Amino acid sequence: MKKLTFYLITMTICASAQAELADAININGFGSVVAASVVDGEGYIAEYPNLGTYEDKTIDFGQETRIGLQITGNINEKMSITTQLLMRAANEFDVEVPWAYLSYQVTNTGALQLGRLRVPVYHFSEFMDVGYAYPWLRIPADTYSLDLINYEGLRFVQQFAAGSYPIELTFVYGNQDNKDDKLMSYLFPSRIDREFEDIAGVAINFDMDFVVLRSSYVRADMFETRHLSAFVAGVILGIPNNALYPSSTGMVDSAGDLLVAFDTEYDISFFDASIKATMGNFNLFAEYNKYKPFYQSYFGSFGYTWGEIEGYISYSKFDLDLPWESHDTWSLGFRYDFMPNVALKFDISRFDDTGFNPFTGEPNPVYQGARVINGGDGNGDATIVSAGFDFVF
Amino acid sequence: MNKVHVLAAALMLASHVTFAEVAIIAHPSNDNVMDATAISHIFLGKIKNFPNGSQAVPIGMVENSITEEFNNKVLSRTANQLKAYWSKLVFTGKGTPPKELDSNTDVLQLVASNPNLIGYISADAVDGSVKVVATF
Repeated sequence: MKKLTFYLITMTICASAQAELADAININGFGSVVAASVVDGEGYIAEYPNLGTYEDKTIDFGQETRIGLQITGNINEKMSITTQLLMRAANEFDVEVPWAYLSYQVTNTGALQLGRLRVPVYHFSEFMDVGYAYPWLRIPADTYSLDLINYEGLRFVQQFAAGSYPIELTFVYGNQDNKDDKLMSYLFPSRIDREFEDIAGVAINFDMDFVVLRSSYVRADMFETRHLSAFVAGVILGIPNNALYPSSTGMVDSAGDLLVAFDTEYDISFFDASIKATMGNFNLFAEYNKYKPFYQSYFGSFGYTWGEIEGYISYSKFDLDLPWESHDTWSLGFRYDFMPNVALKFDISRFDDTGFNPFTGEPNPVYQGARVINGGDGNGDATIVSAGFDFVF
Repeated sequence: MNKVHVLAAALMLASHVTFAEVAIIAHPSNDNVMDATAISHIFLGKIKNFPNGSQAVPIGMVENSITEEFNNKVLSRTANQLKAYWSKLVFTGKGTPPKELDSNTDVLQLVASNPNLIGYISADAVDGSVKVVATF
């Protein structure tokens, strides 16, 4: 009885101390102001999912600049609710909601989250908009070009230790509906709708302090509806007539005829592996990603820290399984933490586009303005100079 | 005479800065043995329990010379590197930084009141109400 009383008193003390430690509402924010200019070439897609694209030799602040605001309300000791709002210059600062979830601390080391979350595909997928959290001016566009970024469903995060090393396991399950998928509609006009069902995945993070290993695997059923002109569908792509039906979008082609549509179903999967290592002032990052049945990509970076300055040289590469799209980028830059909560960044990148049409052998640059058919030089290579501030509050 | 005073004061100040030790403190009933790595895992939110399995809640302090020394010696990170580290966790819903108290005394009093807490203070501010887990 005495023991129980002591236990209850201790519990009460703990509970009140815990409650005191958590504020009712926490507000945090982050953002980046990025200005960049193409100094050589015709244009550069710096951020794929929202098509942050630098088009000419003027200095453009309106592509990657973004502001995020996060509000967490602590409901009780075990539950909280979090919403993150994100406004991007590339989308005229329309408010998007990358995160909105209820969090339940099931045990001290395991948390269940329900709502709108991010798919943990790449190493930086979940926080690629938080520039302050990484050294580069931008997460390389070649590698991080996926159109499946968010999902609605659940996530369970479990922490444990292997010997003295922390391991974090993340399980995800959910669905996502991308009507008029911005990236895919740009790459394959006129419009693409994608529905991702039964997204299921796992990510493991093994932290050995100076070396961090991470790997993830995510699969989903993807239902794609492509809306395009009857000519492109029937003649160029050779889609049989009985697979085509009138597009429900009401959109018309250049001749004024209603677009047609057809559906395709894919089993998709992503595999990713990365290593992050720190050796004194040197640091190394390498990542590989395979997106079946479409492409693979790579990202590598080598950095050196001098006090509050971190310099880097990085390389990223994208290879579609078919020759149509292939490109890589070399980048040289630095981050300078010149005052608390603000980092100044500078980057110069060289983009090399080697994609081509396998039937004609003609180059097929991913930046559409560089294609010959659109009045470009057909080359697609570009050099971009960028500077920016990343901040958190 | 004045000069000597100034010099003496400067020397005391210098020696204070050089020899100020950071004490990692916990509740007197906490009998866990931890090295710098284990302590850093708790303060970085990578491990949520003490080695004996009970819940571990780290308590931080506002930016001052002790915090700087703790960050440097135990966490092997600068204040800015820590902010970058926490921004990743905060904005992905995977963690929040330790609550920051204003002074050695505040940390001492709070840690003395709860067996789940662990904090750091200047070694010369330690008294019998807490147990020193380690000094750096």
